[in-house]
Amino acid sequence: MVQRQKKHWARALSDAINMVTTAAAAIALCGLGGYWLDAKLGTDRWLTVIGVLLGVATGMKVMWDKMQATETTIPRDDSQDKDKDKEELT
Amino acid sequence: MIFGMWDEVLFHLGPIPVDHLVVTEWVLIALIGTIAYLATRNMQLVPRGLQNAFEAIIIWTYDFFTQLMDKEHVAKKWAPLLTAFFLFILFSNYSGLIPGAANIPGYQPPTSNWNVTMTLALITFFSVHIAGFSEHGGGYFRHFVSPNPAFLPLNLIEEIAHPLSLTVRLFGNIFGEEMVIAFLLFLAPFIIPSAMMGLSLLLGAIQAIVFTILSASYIAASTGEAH
Repeated sequence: MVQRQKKHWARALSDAINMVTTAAAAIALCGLGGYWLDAKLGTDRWLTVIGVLLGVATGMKVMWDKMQATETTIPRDDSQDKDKDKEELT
Repeated sequence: MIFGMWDEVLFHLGPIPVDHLVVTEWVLIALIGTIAYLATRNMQLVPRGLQNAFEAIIIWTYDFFTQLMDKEHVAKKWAPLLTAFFLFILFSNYSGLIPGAANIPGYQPPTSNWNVTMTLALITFFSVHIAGFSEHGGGYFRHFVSPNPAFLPLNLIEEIAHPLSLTVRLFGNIFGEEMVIAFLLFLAPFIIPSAMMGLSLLLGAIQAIVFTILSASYIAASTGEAH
């Protein structure tokens, strides 16, 4: 059975920010790269469009990877964690 | 000039030009170093005062990064760098709020200049790959062709997008905040900018936390089992 693993708040926050900003940065990077190449090669916006699409694809891949990492087939047993915490304290 | 891309040179250190940003960074590093020195100069088995506070912070930091990065040995190895990032960015963000700082000609907080934020992001970039390589050896590079070789361009773009997003977010937030405060000071001095400066205290801390936990999560991803 697929269960969602309880995440540390900082990991959840970093995943959310990472998804959004990496997608935005990838679109900006590829779009501007395509724009620059269009100006160099005179290819009339084609490379800008391809660049933006490549950036969108990268953004979707980042989101897909995060979703895959969130789901785990290993059920979480909180009682084991408590035992581990006790061992660490002693 | 693109957002302080080239700043006024204060003096030369041999062939190296030194501008006010570098001097501000030296002051901040000296300040953090002095506090650390005062906390550790007379270490006691039963800690008191500043040593006690620092020990509590260090224990909390190790615990926080261990939970965030899953692997304890990785967290212990990289926690000093990540904590240094946090302290430097926090002190830098707050340096713009020091009363009278605005009267120094050309003064700006280091993190409101993209050269500084890009340097920090590049340190993270190289640290991520060093951490991944030291954890997985040559097998680390397999993730560039994961799940199959057709994804190589997307994976490379993602790797470049990480430092770019770290650079632009920190720089944009702090530069924008400084601009808003400067504009409000020009329009209505004292009362109205105070509210924005209060908000800047929160914003400065949030940006330092975000940069640090993102760097930690990139290192955790490169050292994780998925690679």
